[in-house]
Amino acid sequence: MKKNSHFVVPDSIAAADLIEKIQLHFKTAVASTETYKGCYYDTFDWRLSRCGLSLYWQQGGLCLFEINESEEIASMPCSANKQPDVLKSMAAGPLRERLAPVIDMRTLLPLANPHIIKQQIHVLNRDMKIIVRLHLKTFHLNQKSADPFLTTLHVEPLRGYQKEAKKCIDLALFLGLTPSDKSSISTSIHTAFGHKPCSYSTKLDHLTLTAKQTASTAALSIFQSQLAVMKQNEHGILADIDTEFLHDFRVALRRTRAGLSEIKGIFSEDVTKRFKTDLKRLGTMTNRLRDLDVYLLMKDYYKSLLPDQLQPELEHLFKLLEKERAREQRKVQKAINSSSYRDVISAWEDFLTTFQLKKDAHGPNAQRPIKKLAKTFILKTWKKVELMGRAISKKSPDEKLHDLRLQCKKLRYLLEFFASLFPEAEMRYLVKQLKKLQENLGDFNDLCVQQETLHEYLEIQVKVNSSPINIAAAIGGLIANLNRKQQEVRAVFDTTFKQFDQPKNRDLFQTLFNK
Amino acid sequence: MKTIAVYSIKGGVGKTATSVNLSYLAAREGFSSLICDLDPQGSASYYFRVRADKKFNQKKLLKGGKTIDKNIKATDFQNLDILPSDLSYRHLDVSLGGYKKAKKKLKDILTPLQDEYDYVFLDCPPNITLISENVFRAADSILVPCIPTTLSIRTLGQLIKFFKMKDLSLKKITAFFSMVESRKRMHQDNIIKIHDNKKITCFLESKIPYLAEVEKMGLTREPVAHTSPKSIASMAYESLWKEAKKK
Repeated sequence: MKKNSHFVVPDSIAAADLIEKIQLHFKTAVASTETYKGCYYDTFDWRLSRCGLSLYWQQGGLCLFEINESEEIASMPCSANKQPDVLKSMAAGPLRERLAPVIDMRTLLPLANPHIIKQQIHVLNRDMKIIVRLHLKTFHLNQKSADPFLTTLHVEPLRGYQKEAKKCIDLALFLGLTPSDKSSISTSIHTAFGHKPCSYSTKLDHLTLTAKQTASTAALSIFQSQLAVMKQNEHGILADIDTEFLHDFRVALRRTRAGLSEIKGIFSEDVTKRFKTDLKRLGTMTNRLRDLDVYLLMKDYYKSLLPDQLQPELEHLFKLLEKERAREQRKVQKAINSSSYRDVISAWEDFLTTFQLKKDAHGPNAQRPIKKLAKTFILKTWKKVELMGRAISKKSPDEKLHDLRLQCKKLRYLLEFFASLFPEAEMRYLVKQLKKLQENLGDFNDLCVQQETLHEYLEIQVKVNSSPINIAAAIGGLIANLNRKQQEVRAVFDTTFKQFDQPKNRDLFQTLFNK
Repeated sequence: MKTIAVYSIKGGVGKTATSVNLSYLAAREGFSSLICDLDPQGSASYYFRVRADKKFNQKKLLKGGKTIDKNIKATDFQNLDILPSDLSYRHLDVSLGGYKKAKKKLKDILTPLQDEYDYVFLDCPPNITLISENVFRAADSILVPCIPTTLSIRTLGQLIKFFKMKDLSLKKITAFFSMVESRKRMHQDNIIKIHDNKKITCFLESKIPYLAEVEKMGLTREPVAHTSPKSIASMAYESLWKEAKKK
């Protein structure tokens, strides 16, 4: 039906000149001029931009637009001083429904606050009827900056007057305006405020290694990319913006530690040992906080496992967890602000930048070509996974699955580190196969840990606090349900592993990684 | 979608002013609204400064579907569209007669618009003809402006009689006093007589006074509720809309 058109006005044409030029061709009236402070949102990892969405506040409400589509998808009235920075505080409605699955547990951050001057111009016919609405906006970095960093024109066609709108669009093109869409406009705005949409990623996709580069340069670029992720997430952990800052920090840390132990012989043994110990400490200090985050994120899921009448009893458990989380958060904050943390990070950073000069810190593999080494590492780890997995029977103790899970993690990191050295499609396929196995093992492990935690909680409630019987019933019910799920997960391990260990995959590992 | 017809057998009772202002008020409240100008005189279209495309005529209207869709136009107001009238509508009656289900034709034409609009207002031509019968069947509510004069009230009686004869639902009919002149003794007496008569229940409380502001709509070419939202006329239409939308 309606099709809107957006244009970027070149810097050489000032807004006032543009209006004059339009008036030469059409009868117009400037209907209104408004100035306001806009606000453009996204999550720290650019979830909206990645999905081609743009969310912003302008006078009167929040609007959500889709990439290349100029039609608004959803909007919500909301006053200037009540811009909801968290999805949680957003009222139910189509906007929330559309945003929630995209943003998930992340927080919306107000990233750019341009000062906007908006003029509405009506194009009129002989009856002085409005036939097209033009919206001319100039974006300024702040109220004081006279020159806009961006000027846009939006031609809003009205029903039944498409031909007239087409004439306005033709004129815009004739005057040298650049057709654009909402999303690229929001990208320009983010850029003006010093952000680079979609620049942040924890994935190793952007890492490109070459077959002949030395193992040390390859390892350094892997470590440096992960160190950068850790540093980028520090502020979010300190400000407790959402749970994913810590999560990303920990993933990067884990990758670094896995790299230290699995990309063998790059650094001297002393150095490797030293950083392994130091970095492990950083991981340990955040373990409990992450566990608590996971429990709290699963609140609704836990509730769904219980019958309606027992659900309220869980509130007490979650209140305790929230309290503990607040304490843990303070601990982690303190730790990140401490000099010992700073020392570890800067020592690691210095080491990575000066490594090439310090010959005594080099390990035996440092100068070897990376591809050959990568093949050896991957093949070895894969063989271990294969042997461990095949040894697991229905009667094997839980620990065996736990060990296999850790081994799979190592293999996964190696595949990701060195993905760029091997054919893309094959690597993606193998990671996908491994991921399925990891999911099964991960679920199994999570269910084990959760039951243990609930047992501990139950003990305290019954023995120490002699809590009402309903709480015990709720926790008991939860444990029983989790246990049943654990059995289900365990039951499909066999087929999941066989799927991973199928001849096709074995052959692929051999062809790719056997010298 | 709720279809409200503004109808009267008698002409010059304020039908168009009513449908223009009520549709504007509905749109202002955020309801997606459409006003169908069924009167060949095209007064509603004139008030909204909209002309039908040259190719549009009564035959196109009767085609319905996409043809109608193409001829709906945006007014100058958010949420409010109009299907403008054409002089050829004067032949609508004759053309309708040629259809098999002649009495239900308008209802069928409007059905596809159901998802798009919350309210459809029908600005009807005066008279009682085949097109009127179409309106009675298509509308959920029939709003009848009535000047407090003997003749005007008499036509309301004729309408009721017609409904009974055709076995149409009398519940659809809602009347209100229009162009009320407080200085005229007869107007006052007639209003009291109607309101005191317990048998007559179809009249709303709200009354639209006879006001120059409403007549000025011919010059401003805008709903009075938009030109002077604080005026007596605007208030009167607001109160009428409040009551009418509940019917």
